Amino acid sequence: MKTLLISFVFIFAFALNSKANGKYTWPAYTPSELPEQYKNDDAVYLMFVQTYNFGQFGESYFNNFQRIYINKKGAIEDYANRVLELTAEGKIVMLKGRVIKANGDIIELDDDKIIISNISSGRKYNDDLYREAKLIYPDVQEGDVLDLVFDVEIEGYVYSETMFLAQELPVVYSRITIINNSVLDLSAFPLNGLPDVKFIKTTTGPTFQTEQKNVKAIPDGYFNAIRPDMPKLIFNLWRPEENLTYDVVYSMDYQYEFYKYHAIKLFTEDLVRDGVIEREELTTTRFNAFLKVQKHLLELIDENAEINLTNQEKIRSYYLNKTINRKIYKSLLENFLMEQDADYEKCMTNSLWSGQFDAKVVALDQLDATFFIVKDVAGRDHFLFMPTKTRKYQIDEIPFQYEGNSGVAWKGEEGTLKSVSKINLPEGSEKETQQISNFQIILSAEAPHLAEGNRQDKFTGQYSSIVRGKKKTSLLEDLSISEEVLEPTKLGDTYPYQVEFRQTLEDTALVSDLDDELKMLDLSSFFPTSIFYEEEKEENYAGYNLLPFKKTQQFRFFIQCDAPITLEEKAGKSLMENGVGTCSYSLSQMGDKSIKVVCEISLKKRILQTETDNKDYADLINFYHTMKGKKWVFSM
Amino acid sequence: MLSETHSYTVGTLDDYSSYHEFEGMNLSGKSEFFLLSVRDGSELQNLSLDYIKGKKRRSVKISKSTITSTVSNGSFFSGATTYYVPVDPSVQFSIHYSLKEENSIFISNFYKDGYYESDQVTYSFNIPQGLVASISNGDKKTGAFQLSASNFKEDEDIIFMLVHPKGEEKETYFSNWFEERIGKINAINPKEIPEHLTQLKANGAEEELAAACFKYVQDEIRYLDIENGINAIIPRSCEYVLSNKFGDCKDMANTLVALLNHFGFEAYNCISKTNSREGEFDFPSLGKANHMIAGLKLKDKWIYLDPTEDNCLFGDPSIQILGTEAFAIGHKEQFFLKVPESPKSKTEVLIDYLLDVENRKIQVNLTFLGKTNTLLVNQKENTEVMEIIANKVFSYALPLKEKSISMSTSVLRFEGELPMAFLSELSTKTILQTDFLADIRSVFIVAGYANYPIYPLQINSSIRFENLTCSNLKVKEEIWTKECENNSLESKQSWSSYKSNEEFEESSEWTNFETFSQKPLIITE
Repeated sequence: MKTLLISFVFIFAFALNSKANGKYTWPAYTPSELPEQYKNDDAVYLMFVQTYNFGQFGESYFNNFQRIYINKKGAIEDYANRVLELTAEGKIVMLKGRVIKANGDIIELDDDKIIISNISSGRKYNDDLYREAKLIYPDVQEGDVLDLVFDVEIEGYVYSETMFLAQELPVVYSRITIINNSVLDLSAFPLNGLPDVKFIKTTTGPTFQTEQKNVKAIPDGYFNAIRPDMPKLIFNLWRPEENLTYDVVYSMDYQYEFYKYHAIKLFTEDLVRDGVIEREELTTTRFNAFLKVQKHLLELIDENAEINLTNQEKIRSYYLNKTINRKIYKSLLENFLMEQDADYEKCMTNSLWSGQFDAKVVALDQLDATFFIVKDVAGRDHFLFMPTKTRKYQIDEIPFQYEGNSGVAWKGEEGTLKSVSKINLPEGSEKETQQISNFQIILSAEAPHLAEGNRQDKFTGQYSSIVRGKKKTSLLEDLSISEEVLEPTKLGDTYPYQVEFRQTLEDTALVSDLDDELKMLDLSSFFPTSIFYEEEKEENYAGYNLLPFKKTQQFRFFIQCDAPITLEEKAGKSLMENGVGTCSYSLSQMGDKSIKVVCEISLKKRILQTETDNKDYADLINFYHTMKGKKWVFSM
Repeated sequence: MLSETHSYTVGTLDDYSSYHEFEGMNLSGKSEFFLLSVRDGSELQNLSLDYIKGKKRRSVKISKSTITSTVSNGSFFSGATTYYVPVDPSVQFSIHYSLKEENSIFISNFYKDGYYESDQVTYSFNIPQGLVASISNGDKKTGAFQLSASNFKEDEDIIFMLVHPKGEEKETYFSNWFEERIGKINAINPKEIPEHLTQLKANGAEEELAAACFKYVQDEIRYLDIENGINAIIPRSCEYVLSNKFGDCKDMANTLVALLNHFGFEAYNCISKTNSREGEFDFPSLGKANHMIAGLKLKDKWIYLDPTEDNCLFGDPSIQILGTEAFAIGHKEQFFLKVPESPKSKTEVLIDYLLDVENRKIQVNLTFLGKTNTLLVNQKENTEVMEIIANKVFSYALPLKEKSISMSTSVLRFEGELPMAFLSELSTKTILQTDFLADIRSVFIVAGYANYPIYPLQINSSIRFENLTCSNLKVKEEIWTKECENNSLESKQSWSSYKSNEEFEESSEWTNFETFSQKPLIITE
């Protein structure tokens, strides 16, 4: 306990120092042999210390001290020039770096070696402004230690956050401290066996601290996600003498939204008057009426609309002007559900890539995405997710980042929470998310090298929301369907929302001569460039990987000729099957003028957490790419 | 529709101002940003946005909504500031601003289509008496004059310019301008000179000493491109570079030149262009250059040293400057020098395949010799890059089993299964698709960082078959130099050097190879 108190004094000291003339006392460094377990690592964090300090006057300070040991030359390029991404909000109170040479010499970074850059994504509304701090460490060699500390002052409190002891490098000593000098109450939830959590009431305010030695690195590959069992700390800063419960969150949310956005009295009347719904539907097929309202409102959303909500009247005027944004969409929908006294729940969850939602922990940081569960007349549950900047979701579509995660469902009445329950969001199966592509390829004996025909591509499930819409050219290109905007020939209106494209194939070069008798058919141009993303073959699959979704893609080629055509390869099926999925191709003679080639990949497992899973996934990718490139031998 | 007007008024060589106006219509139907970038050291004045309706102009306040960014993706830090000026949908607009600048040497290049591929572009100049603007089309102008699309030749996209005193050759002025400024900062403190270099000098090992100086800068100075303000074109002092052990191309070249000069060598800072930049560097203008190297005259021969390329061998130009031109600052007899197109060291890759078709086994040895070996030497510790190389070179899973990497030769041995999809089993024969061959474009990347040959390159391949004899094989002769002999086939490909991927893809060398390399092998029973 004594040690801990001393460390607090030290923390306060440097937090205080940081604000006074930029002076800072670096944590002491005593050179010692790098523990054996890190000998093969290019670099390790000797210390990674994160400290939140909530001030008395509504301000938050975040302090981060990092001490990196450069073990191998390869790490110099990665860490001698550090780039830190910092939010544009708040003030960088302090940012310092230094090199501790192996011989004990210390080189502090001059001002010209610390550069702050402003970055803009260049969007007019909701522009994501942020800052980059670049630190250039001079004369870095193997065996050097690089220190970095920054202190950011944020206007307002950070009310909730999820913090981890693990970082992208192994950490010899990692610590998280939260100091509360504010008038608000601090609560912290150590999860998944977060070690040594201490809670101390000090004269300056209650403080939480957790620390751990020898923390393993978090892999940072393309599909890597936070493991559900990763130790973490979630904290809340909340009104004093009030426990942050779901009741509180619900009623606050209701009050905030109700008074600001809801309360367009008789919104239903507006909808009836506009002919969106028939009055009779409200008594006979109320769920259908809800679907009509939802579709209607979804179409009114304009991402570029400049909307400034100040009072109830305005929200109605935006609706009457037929231009709404996503917030208004949500409010109007809930307004309708409330007016109709519908059986619905308001639910919250977060992305599975950020970790499993823990319903037991009431924390604002977990409440990332809103959706409704609405019951139909038969009492069946239907999910409705709120749209994002890039996607609009229809009923029963669950965005893939939330599939398989948990969430919390609230049922309330007039701003009072009546019931709360944990819900599990279903994970779509490989049968729901599909690409079925049928190709009719017509060859002619007169001009055997050029093919004609047509193709039909059908998408369902997660693919549906990806390819639906007008500005999806790059996605259609990635799927090798079209380089131009292509309008769907069919749009399904019930889940899993089939989207269909049809195209004519003209003068397509698919056939080449192998010798005087044999010919080869190359179908590779019809396959998507990858299973999920272009560089997937170069990924080093390790650790905990989360694939976007389960799926099946099938490519059926019917090759017809006006003269006899014979498949020269042995007919039959080649298959790779493992724990993650299957990939196969089969070929058959369909009569004397027709042959058929069917290629399929099916991913049945989404979370890859063992070495076998990762290897199986890599094997499937490789099989897919060789299958895609296969040339089919025939004679005509 | 967009039109651009730019006017430059030169006061002296160290003081000029410019005015820029962009007028057009936002037709996109939504609000768009107009981006303008201002170099560190330039003073932006009177940035204004007007909306135009008929003959009326309405000034729009932009100060609050203008977003700035100080990040340039081109370098670690460029110092340039980008202003995002929001323009409303469906309006005719005019954005105009002035810049106050020093150093008229920055008046250097002018695009036929302007900065935004505009429909109409006009450049106006006012050069005072006593100064002259030399233009890359051969003209020399003083006073007021204009450039517009009609001054550009049909195939000319950029016109280059240098403002210099009348009566002084443009090359001499360009050289002196740099020499004066670099001369002030290239003093080297003897205490900073490594002992082993002084020792070599004492031993009289001239070439060894020059090579050691090169290696010292190459190994000890970390490349970092910080190109803000005047340091976008003038190196930092040797003292700064040697004490901090980092620098950009100019810093590294200048430090190397200072070291070489210190030891009595004839060495020059050479303004250079890399082969990623189109055109010939034959006119003294900043717009032509994007790099700096050291030129060493040793035993009456020029050696071009680029310490930014890790593991570039002494005597070899770096890959990025092969076949380009360089401007030797202070070398009065000949300013423009030609960098050789080929490295001195070997440029050969050997690819040996051992195939067991019956058991679907394959082994491949890839050997990179001399210059082709640079990337592997640079990345030998980086297992991730090695994995990427393995995955790029072969279109299928062929695990890297062993690697042996040294400065002169590197060998990568891959071993694995021949994918079923590469084999088509017919009733009396088996077709082996050539997809098992290494992807030659990826071999180019390993050999020279680009997916086309940027220096003349020899790639020799051989395929040895197990459990098969030549009588079982039927191959197209075009890519194989020899008919099957001793159960093996051989191919020798001599690749010429190319300036761009586009040029390479249009070459008959590539189109022929692409056609023939895809012809499968037919194995008969």
